[in-house]
Amino acid sequence: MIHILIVEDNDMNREMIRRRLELHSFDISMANDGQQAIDMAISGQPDIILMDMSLPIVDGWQATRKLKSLDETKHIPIVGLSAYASKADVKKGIDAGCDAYEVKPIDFERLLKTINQLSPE
Amino acid sequence: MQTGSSFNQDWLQNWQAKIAIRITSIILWTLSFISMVVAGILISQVRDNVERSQNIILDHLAYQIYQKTQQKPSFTFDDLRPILDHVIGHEYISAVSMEYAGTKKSYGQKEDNFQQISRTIFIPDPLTITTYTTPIDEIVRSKQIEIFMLFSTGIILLGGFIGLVIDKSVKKPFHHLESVAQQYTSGKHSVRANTDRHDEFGTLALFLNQMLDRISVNEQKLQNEVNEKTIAHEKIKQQRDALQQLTSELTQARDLANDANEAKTIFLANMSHELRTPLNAVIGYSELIKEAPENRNNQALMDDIDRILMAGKHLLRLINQVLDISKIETGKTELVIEAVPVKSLIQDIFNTLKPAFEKNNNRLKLNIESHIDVIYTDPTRIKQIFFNLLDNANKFTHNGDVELHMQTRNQQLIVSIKDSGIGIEPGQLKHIFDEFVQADTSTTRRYGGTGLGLSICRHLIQLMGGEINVSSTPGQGSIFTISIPLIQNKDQGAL
Repeated sequence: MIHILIVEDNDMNREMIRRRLELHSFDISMANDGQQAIDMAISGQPDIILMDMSLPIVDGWQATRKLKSLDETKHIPIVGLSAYASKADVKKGIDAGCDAYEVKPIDFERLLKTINQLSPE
Repeated sequence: MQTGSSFNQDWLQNWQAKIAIRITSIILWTLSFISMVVAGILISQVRDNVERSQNIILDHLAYQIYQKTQQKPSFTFDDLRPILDHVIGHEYISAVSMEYAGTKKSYGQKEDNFQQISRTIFIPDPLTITTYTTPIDEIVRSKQIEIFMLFSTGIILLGGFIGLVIDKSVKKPFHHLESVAQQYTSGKHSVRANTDRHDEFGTLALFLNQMLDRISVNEQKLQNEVNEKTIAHEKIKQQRDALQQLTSELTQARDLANDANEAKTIFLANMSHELRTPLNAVIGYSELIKEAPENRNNQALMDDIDRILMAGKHLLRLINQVLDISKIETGKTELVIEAVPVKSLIQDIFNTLKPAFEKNNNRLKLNIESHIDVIYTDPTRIKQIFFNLLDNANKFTHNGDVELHMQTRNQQLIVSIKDSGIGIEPGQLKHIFDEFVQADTSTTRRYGGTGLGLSICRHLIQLMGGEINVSSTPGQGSIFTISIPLIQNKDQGAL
């Protein structure tokens, strides 16, 4: 089962994404901020990370850069998932190290496709 | 100015002095020359005259002595003395001696170097009379000096006299003219020369006055011009100042507007972010409810959820379009030109719109000129334009036809989209491309839409250098016609 780490500070949205992904039989763990995401990625070694950008403590761009710089986590695909939706925002996410970038409100079908493309099997 | 006028003064004085000296010296030289000639002639005759006068005196003396001896034959030398006294002391004769019958007697004082002239009279014995005079050379010299002194004094006196006359007749009028010129130069413009004289100075004064008059007139003219120019300059300066003021105000206003625009852009970007987050929850949870297996048989719930989803997606479209408009208006929209296979692009759009067309029972006819293949344009934007126009055409048409006709004419891509829908009232036509305008408010209620689609279309078409026009007959349908300049290659699009 594919293990997804959801990084999202908004409870409602985090819960919604978790429940929708669980309907599609993914193994889910969740982090509320960037620092927690880094810790959990190192310890939990998820198959893919869905990363919000506007996060407390350590923001999504910093966390992504950090994860992509660590040997333990740099292989893990990261999908940026943010309400920052302009072309410039997408570029900013990709530049930080995101392998893909999806804007909110989430086009769930697209997100599923992206997850399937990026996950190991 | 000061050095200039003092220079003039010196020059005038020198010039005047030179003239006076020159005239005086010419006259003096001439007089001196004549005097020298006259003096030379006189001097050359001095010797003859002296000799002659001495001989005459001696002859006269001899004659008087002769007469005396005739009157008184028994004379003594002393009897003749009174006659000698008349002679001694005159004409350089300082002594006279007489010798008669072996007796010799001298009267007066004589010196050795004195010149002696003698006469001998016979009464009947010889009586020799000898005069002793200063040597003739000395006499001549002294006479010559006398003449020279006389002429010299004469010339000096004459020179002084001539100088005085010149001073009166030349220097004075010069001085007058000079003083007039000087006074005029130092600013007393009313001063004029005295023209009473009837000589050249009078004429000169007349001309000087005419010259001063003309200078005064010209100066007045010049002054007037300068005054006018100063006033004009002042006006220009004021206008320039006003212009600068205005420019600075405009710059301020522009900066304020730019700041406001920037603030608006930032606000809209933030607003977009803040609206998307709850909208994510609205759409996400709605879809979650739809997907939950336990709800699949509850049709009423599904319908409601669909309505929520529709409203959510409409809201999302609004957010996107508001951002689009904002970006276009602030000039932040840039076209990314690529080679776009236009037929497959239209096909893509049609595939997306197919469910909507089927829902309204409309047919889509494509009429694309066969030679049209790849065009160079911004694929996202051109898709947005076609999608919007076709979506609109379908939205306002039921059980009808929507026809897309694409052709190239004169380096223009011309696309018309014709529907057989409800059409647009003539009064609404001119506002159809304005923001938030639909044909009327009831349309929004019946057909949905944001009222931004056509406005964005027009902005994008204008950005591509083209234009969009509409014609419509209410109840029969509308035709939207786009014409966009054809770009030959990718690089040209960068222009």
